[in-house]
Amino acid sequence: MAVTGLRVVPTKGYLLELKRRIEIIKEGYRLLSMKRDELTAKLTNFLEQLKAVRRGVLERVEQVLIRFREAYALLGPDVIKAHASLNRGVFEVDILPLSIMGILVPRVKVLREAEVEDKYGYIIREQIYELRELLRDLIKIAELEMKIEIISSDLERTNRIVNALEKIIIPEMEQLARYIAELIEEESLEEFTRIKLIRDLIVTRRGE
Amino acid sequence: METYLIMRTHAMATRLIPPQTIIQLAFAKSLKDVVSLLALTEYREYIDKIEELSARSLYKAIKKVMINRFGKLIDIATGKFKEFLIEYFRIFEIENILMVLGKKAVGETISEEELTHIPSLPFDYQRLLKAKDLEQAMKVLKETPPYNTIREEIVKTVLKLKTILPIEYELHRIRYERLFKLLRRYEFITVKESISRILGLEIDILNIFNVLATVIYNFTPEIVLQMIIPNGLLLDPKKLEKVALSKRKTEIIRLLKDYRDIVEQIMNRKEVEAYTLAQKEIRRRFIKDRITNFTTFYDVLLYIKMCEYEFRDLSLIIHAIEYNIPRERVQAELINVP
Repeated sequence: MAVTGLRVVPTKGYLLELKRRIEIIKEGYRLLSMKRDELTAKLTNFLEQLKAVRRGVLERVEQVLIRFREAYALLGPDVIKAHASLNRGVFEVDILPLSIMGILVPRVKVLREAEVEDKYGYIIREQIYELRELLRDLIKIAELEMKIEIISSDLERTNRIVNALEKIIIPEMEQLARYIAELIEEESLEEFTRIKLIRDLIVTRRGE
Repeated sequence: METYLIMRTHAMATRLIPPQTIIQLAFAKSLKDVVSLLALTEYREYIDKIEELSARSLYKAIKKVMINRFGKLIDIATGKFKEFLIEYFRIFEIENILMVLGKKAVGETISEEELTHIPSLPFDYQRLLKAKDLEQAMKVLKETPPYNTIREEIVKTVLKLKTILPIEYELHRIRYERLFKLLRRYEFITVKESISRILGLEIDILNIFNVLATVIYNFTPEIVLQMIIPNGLLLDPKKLEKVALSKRKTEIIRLLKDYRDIVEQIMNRKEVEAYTLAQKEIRRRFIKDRITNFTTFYDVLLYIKMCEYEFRDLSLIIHAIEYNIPRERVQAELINVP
């Protein structure tokens, strides 16, 4: 038998135990298939989200950078420098674990970021506002990419297990169970025949 | 002495870069091309001293030209004209003060060499530079004339929010009030009204950018109202207050209908374009109100403005080459071209 690691004893008790195991494995297979389907759905969803955000961001990065350069060129390095220093060290994030079907993925929580409100004068505030929005999107992209990477690696593992269960382990165990059942049946038939022969022998002797 | 100042300014104005050269510069492919075009102008003397050509070194050179032009004007002017010019050039003093305060707000230091110095401007930066934090710097500033009229509530807002924006508007308010005071005190006879109109227009522009921040960037109305500068040309503080408290776009445009184009650009978060439009409007008004060529003190102020715009345009061109900004966009943002 190909099911390795199992000491096959062709007994009724072993067959019952084997059938119980097969039931458990099938239940596990069912749960893992559900997990695989759910992970696939989540992954597709994240990929779509990433595609949408990335498409928007790529266009925005170009726009924001051109506008920032324009503002820099218009106001000159001195004014930009004076305001840029006010923003130093104001960005802070926390990375929290988020469970999706038991898999831990990161969720980025922005704790502190550049505040435009009541702080900056014209042109500068527009640049800071745009750059802040862009940074939020870049964080969103990084978060989605990380989620996709973790989920896809887990999905790959789950898929391998599900396939192994579906294509190898369950069929082999069922085959083994069938083999044992046949063996037991053969044995019991043999036993029955043997008993019948013995009974016939005893009856014949008594008749003498 | 007024005639001498005007005549000298007239002579100096002939050295301004003509609009067609500015356009040529805007389409220059490299900084070397800019240098070869500028070598035919007053800038040659300063460009020759550049050891390594870069946007930064070129920017410093053109800034030096502008500062020297303004320094020369103060040297030539006497009496009430000198007094007025000193007040007018306080705009650079304000820029320097804001730079220092910005650094103090984040606990950084700045050297005096990094500041823009116009000779004859009396402000002593040493005490301000030595202040250990923003609070002390504000205290020093409040003790230094003419900035001792800074309002207490502004100081409180600055220290509470750790921002230099309210003080920026407060310093502008002080500067404009002093300029208007000088206009009232001395008789600049024929040009008094024209100068008031230009200053009023500048104030209106500053106020528009300020009050619209409540609508677009959620600025706190109380803070914005504190920063309104009086003496605007077409917008009085009451109207501006209504704009700051209004939430409806149509009402805002109706209230600010005289500056509709600028307001629409700001509302669309296109402040670079709005700024350029505003400066072009100031330039247009400056030229429109001119009586005849170089006969009054008004022409001196016009020359100053043209120098300022020339500097801004050249700075834009230099940095546009450095950062590869499309030339068509640069051309649209040039101020000193018709």
